[in-house]
Amino acid sequence: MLSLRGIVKRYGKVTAVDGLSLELRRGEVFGLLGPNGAGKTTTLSIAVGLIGPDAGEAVLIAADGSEIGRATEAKVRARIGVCPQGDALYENLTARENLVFFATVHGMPKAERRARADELLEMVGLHERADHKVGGYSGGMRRRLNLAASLVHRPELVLLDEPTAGVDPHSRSAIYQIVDELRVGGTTVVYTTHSMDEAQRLCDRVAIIDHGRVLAVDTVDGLIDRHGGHAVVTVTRSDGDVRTETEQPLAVLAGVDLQSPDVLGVRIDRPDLESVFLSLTGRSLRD
Amino acid sequence: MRVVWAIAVKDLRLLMRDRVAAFFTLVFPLLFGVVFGLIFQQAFGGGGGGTPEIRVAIVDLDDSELSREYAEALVEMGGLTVVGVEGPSEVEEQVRRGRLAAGIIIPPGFGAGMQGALFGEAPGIEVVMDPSRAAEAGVLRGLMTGAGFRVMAGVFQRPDMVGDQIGRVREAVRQDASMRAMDRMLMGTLLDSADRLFGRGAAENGPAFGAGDRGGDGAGMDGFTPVRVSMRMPERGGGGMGGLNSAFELTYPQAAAWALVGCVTGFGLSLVGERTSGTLKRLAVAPVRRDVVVYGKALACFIAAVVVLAVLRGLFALPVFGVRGGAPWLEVVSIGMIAFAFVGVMMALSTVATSAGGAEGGVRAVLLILALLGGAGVPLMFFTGWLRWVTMGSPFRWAIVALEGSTWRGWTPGELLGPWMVLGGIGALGMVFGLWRFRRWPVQG
Repeated sequence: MLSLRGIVKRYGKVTAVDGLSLELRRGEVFGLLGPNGAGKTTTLSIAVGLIGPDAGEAVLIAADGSEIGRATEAKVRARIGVCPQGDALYENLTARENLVFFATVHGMPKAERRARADELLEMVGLHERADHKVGGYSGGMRRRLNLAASLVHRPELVLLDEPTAGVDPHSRSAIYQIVDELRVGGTTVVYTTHSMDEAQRLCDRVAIIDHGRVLAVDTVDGLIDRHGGHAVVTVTRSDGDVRTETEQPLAVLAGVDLQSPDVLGVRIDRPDLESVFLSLTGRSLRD
Repeated sequence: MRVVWAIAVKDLRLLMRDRVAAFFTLVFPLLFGVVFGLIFQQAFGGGGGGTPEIRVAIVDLDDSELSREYAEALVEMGGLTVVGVEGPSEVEEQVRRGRLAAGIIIPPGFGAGMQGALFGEAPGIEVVMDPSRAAEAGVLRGLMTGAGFRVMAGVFQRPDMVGDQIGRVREAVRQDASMRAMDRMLMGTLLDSADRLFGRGAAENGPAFGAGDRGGDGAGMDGFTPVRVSMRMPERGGGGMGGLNSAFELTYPQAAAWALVGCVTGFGLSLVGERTSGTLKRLAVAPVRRDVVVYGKALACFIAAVVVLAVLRGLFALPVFGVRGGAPWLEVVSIGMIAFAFVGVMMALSTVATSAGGAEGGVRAVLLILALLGGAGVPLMFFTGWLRWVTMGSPFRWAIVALEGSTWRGWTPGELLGPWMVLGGIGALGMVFGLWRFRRWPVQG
């Protein structure tokens, strides 16, 4: 669907993206996971032609494997939707007016604009506030409308740049649901996040990015299997914790005398994307 | 305290790194103070600037010794900047176009009239006065009367001129059959005395009154005036211009200028807002040329400016305001050209700043100073010398000139062509510059 080939982007002496290559499959939800400053947003901006790379190229691929074109071409941009990190909305317009406006910009016929706007407002749960100005919306409502605005022209590829950053649990849940619906509908989604939970919850495949480089790409399970290490069984005794790294945590647990008054507690920590990141970079994703 | 200091240092550093914000925080207030200090220094005579000079032309149709002396005396009185013109028709045109505050036309026979002023009716002088310069009309009238006294004082130092006048009066008395014998004798005695005083006496004992003690103000003359100054307004293209119908004829273009400030500020900041709010990014990834964003904004600004100017024109045309109109198509073209110019101003100003704060302060500040320099606040009459040239750089000046010219000044299309071309040039330059800057705006925020 989207092929990023050897992308390099420098800002002065800082290399934001350093030879990044990725192949996105049609219909998948692809996660770009990395800490702040890893180069996720720059990669997305290059992918949609907002900024030009110093080297490499971003090419949209058709279902038959042929190249549709680069993101700087209008015919390619017509197939891509972008949900920026900030709320890219007009505060003094209503939600419906915003969507109708962006539908107009994308060349949607007049007769379809309002119906599409209403469809999206229903989808993101804002139909009851459709005629209210966006300036009066809560942060979560704005994020949902922001997402809706990126879908107004029924794109084949949607790039979501940390869409849940700073939103309430209700809106986050609504956004997860929308991403699931997009997957079901066959839309390819690129989802940048620094939340491991989100990546595990939503993404079919995840690329771990740090310092503008792809450290690993695979399914979440595949990444954990290859880079996550083993589970850790921690037994808390009166004289301290005993940690055991093992492939068979239940077997280790079976060997612990749980009836003993000396055993105060037991915990099994399965490897996750945090473990993967730690393994790949030697530091925590939250550092 | 350490945290407070750290925050202060951080904010100062941020300010200095935002060059536009730094300019409008530090440099602009300094410029503001200096520029307006200079304006008011010249306007109110502080610091050796003197009173503002009135720009006039003098046409001497008499070309006599006294008429030339009068013109010289008028210049020597001070307070006037005299501009050379071809003749009365050019005076008319220059005043109508606002390039001169007044045109002074010394009619044929002025010199002869001046010689007989003391014994008959004072000679008349016609002044073609710009109706918008009412404040200067009184000053000019005073200067002209003062110059008349100077010339008259000079006449009394010339026995030949006074002798001629006495001879003429003596002849008139002789031919007046209705005069009683006693009166005729008394007049004869009086004229003999005058003859002795101005004829021999003037030569031997000096003038009866000189420029030093009487010339200049006419005090003590009990209503006597050496010249009769009649002021009139220039002819309009389509008929008599007359005086100002109302003060609103002056304030209507100024109101339009401030409306343009609001229009340009609103659209300029909204263009910056597209970038800061992220909507520009959304538009930039749409399958349209990025320039359409700025084209759309320019079109909206143009429409808004035209509507605002048209509404203001309509309101000021109401009888309660009484702003007279010119040919409708001239007014329409003027409004169109003004709107075009200010679209350019909007595009240029809004794309210079690199931050929302810089744009907010910068757009407002530059418009404010351009508006004030262009006559939207301080009347242009206060701008003299090189400052008058500085006003040429303000689009507001040309907007005001075009609006006045196409309405109550009654300019012809040929006369309006200059302001229109300047406005068109400002608009085109602003648009080219704005588009050039806009294409270099980084979209990624």
